[in-house]
Amino acid sequence: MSQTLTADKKELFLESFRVSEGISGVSKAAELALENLDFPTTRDEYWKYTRLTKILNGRFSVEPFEGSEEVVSINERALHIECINGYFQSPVGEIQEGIEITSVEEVEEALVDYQNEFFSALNTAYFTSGIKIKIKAGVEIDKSIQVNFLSVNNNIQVQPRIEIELEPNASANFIFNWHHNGQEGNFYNVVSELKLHENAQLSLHQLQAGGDENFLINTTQVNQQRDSKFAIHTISLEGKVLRNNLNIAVEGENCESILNGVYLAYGSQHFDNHTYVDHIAPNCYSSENYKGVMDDKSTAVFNGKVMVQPNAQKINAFQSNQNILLSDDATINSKPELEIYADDVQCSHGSTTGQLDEEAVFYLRSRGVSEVSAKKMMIRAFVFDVLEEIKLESFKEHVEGLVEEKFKL
Amino acid sequence: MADKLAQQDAALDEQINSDYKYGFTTDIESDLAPKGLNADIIKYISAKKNEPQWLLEFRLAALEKFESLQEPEWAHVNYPKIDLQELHFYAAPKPKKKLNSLDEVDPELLDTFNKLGISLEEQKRLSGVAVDVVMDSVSVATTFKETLAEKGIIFCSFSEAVKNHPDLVRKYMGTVVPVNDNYYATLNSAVFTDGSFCYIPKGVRCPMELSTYFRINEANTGQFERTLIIADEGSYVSYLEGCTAPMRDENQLHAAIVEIVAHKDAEVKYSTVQNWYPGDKNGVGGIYNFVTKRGLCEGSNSKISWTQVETGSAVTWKYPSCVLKGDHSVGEFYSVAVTNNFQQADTGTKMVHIGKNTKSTIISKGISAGKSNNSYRGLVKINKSAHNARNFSQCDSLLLGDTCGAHTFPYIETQNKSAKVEHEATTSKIGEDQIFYCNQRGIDTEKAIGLIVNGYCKDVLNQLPMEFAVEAQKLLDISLEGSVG
Repeated sequence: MSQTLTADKKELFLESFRVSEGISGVSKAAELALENLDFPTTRDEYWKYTRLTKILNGRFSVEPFEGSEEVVSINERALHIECINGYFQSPVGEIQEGIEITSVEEVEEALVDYQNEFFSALNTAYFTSGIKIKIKAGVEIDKSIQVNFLSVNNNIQVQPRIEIELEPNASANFIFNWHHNGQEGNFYNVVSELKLHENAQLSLHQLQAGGDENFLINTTQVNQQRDSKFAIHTISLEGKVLRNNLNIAVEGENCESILNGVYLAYGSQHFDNHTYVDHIAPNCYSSENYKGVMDDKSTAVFNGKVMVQPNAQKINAFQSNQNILLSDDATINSKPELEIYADDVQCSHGSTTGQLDEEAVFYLRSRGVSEVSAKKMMIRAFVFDVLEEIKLESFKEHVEGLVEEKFKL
Repeated sequence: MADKLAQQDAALDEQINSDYKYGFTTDIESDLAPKGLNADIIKYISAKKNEPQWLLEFRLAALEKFESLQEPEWAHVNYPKIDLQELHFYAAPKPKKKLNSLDEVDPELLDTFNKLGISLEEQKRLSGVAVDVVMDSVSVATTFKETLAEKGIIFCSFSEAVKNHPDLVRKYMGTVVPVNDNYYATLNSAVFTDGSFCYIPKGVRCPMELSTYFRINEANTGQFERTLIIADEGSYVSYLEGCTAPMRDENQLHAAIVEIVAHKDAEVKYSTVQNWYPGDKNGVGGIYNFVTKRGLCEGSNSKISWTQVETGSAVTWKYPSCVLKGDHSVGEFYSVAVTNNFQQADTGTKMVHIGKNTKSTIISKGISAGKSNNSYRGLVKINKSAHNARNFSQCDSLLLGDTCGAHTFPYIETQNKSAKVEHEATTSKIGEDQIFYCNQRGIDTEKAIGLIVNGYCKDVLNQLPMEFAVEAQKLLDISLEGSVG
C-alpha cells in the first residue's frame, strides 16, 4: 500500500517539473526512464540513511532569471560564472585564451546513469539551463574558474547542468560555490559531468553553504583517461538535506584520484556523502579522506565504495573516514566498502568515530586556553590534514575561516 | 497406457536420482511428508513429533508470516533459487546403511580424514561404519552425560526439551530471533524438525566443551536445525558445533537458527567449524547454508563470543550477532572464511550496543581462491543509550589468484558521542617475497601458502578450543589445495 502511495506522490512531485514544450533526444530517454524509476526511499540501499519525504512532498516552481547578484568572491582573480535560480548568466571577467564556454540547449551524451538514478534522470530530462566549459589541449589555466550557485526566489527548482571537458594536457582549477542570500525551500538538483582526457589535471573545490532551509542533491560524474589527475575537495556547511553523489570512472592507466571532504553539521542538518571509485584500468592510485564533526541533532552519512574490476591489477586504493560527535543526539552512519576482483592490489579502508579527547581539552585548559577555544582548536586540528591537501590557497584560507566559525560551542 | 508408462518412468527417474545423488544409500523413504509447504504439512510435522498445542501455534504463526515474505536479494551471492514447494519438509530419521569396514568407504573421504588426523575409530563413526558398543567415544559420551546431570546442566535434543522442559523452551524460544526476523528464520520457525537445547544453571561452570558431536541421539540433524542455549546467572559454557570432517548431506538447503541467552555474569563461547559439501570443482552441487545466529547479552557483565571457521558450502549466508543489552556486556566475533573454486560466502556479524560500557570486537579474515567470492558484511550499531560503548573491527582479505573476489561491506551507525568505534580493512595478496623466503628454505609453494595463511588466521584460530584448532589448521590447508597454479 505504501508503495502505491509513494507512486502517487511521485506523480504529483513530477508534475511541477514537466515542461510544456516537447523535449527530445537524451532528455526524452531520461523522461521515459523517470516513468519507470521509483522515487528513492530508505528501502533502497543507495538511500538507506537519507529520507527524502520533504523533497517528495515539496512543490518547486521554475523561475527564470537574468541579471546579476552580489556574491562573495573566494578568489578575486577568478573567472566568475553565476548560476541564479538554475540559469547560467554570462561570465564576468576576462576569458583566458583556451577556454571555450558554450550553453547547452540539448544533452548530446550523458555520462551520469540516468537509467537507474532518479535525480540524474530528473536533471537530464528537465534541467533548467546547461553550460559547457572546455579547456583546449595543452592549455594551463592559471586563474581559477568559479561557478556560483544561488537563487533569489523561494520554493523553486534549481537544476543546472555543467559539462566540463579538459582536452589532453590541459589543466584547470574550478570552484563551485553554493551561496545563500535568504531564500528558503529551494530544491537544488545539480549534475556535473567532468571529462579528463590524457594527462589532464583538474581540481574541483566545492563549498556548500547554500542555506539551511534548502535541499541539495549534487551529482558529479568524472571520467578519467590515461595519466590524468583529478582532485576534489568538498566542504559541506549548510543544507537541510544535502547529498553528494560522486562517481569516478578511472578508465585509463596511471591515473590519480584524490577525494577529500569535510562536513560540519549542527541543528537538524542532514549531510550525506556517497562516493564511488571504479577502477577499470590497472596501475592507478586513489586516495579518499573524509572527516566530519556533528553537533546537536544533526546526521551525517558517509558511504564510500572502491571497486577494482577484474584485470585492474596494481591498484593502490585507500579510504579513510573519521568522525567526531559533539552531542548525544547526533548520528553518524559510516559505510566504507571495498569490492575487489583483482589480486595484485593494495586496498584498505578505515573508519573511526569518537568524541573530542577530554584529556587534550584539559591539557589546553590547564595552559590557560578557554574551553571554547580549546574545542575550536581541536576541531580545526581534526580537519587540518584534509584542508592541508587543498592547493588553491585562496580557497583554503576562505574555508579555514568558515570552519572556525561553524560551531558556537 | 502411454501415460502410465511415462508416470512410471518419471517415478523411476526420481528414484534413481534421489538415491544416487551424494553416494549414500538410504532405505526406501516410507515416512516422508508430501512435497510442499502449507498448514497441513506443519500440522503433520507437529503431530509426528507429538508436540504440544502452543508449539503448533508458534509454527503456524510463523508460516502465516512466511507467506508474506520474499526471498532476500541483497547478499552478494548468486545461485539458482530453490523451489520450496518441491521440498519435503519432514522425513523420519533415515537409518543409514551400515558399512562393515572402512574398506567400503569412499577412499577420497578417508584420505581427507587421514590428513585431518582423525583417529580410526572416529573415522568409522563419521562415515557410518558399524561400531562396537565399547567404542571410546560412546563410553566417553555416557560419562559426559552423567557429569553434566550431576551439575544440573540440561543438554538434549530440542524435541526432548519440548517434552521435558516445556517451560524453559517456551520462555526463551523466539526471544532472540523473533519469528518474523528474516525469510529463512521464519521458514525455520515454521518447519524446524530438531536441534539442540542447552541450559546451564546459576553459577555453574560447565566442566567440558559441549559438542553436538557427542550427542549420540542426533546422528542426522536434518536441514532445519534449531539450537537454543541459555546460560543462567554466573554460568559458563563453551559450545562446539560441527566438526572438521567433511559432511555430506542429501539436503541442499540448510536454514538453521541458533539462539543464545546470557544472563548476568554469564559467558557463552560458541565455536563452529563448518565444512559442508562445497560442490565440485566446476561449481556443481553443494549446500546452501543460510543460518541465523544471534546471542542476547541480557544481563550485566555477560559475554558472548562467536568463533567460526567456514570452509564449506557452495553458498554461505551467515551473520552471528550479539545484542549487547546488559551494561558492561561484551560481544566478540572471530571468523575465518575460506572460499575456493566456485564457492560464495557472504558472512559477518552484527553488534548492537544498547547497554552502557558495552564492548565488542570483530576480527574477520577472508581468504578467496579459485573463482570464488568472499564478502564481509557487518553492522556495528551504537544506540543512543550505549554510553561509553567501544568497538574494534578488523576485516582483512587475502586473495589467492586473479579470478576471485574479496569484498567488504561494513555498516557503522553511531548515535552516542561517548562511543569509540574503529574499523579497518585491508585487501591484498600474499607477498612474493614471503613465498620466496619460504622457497629458499626448501618449503614448496603450496606448503608456504598454507604456512602463511595459517599465520594470517592465527588471531582467530587461537580462539578455538585446543584440538579443534589443530584440526582447523589442517582443514585450511586442505581447503586451499590445488589453488596454487
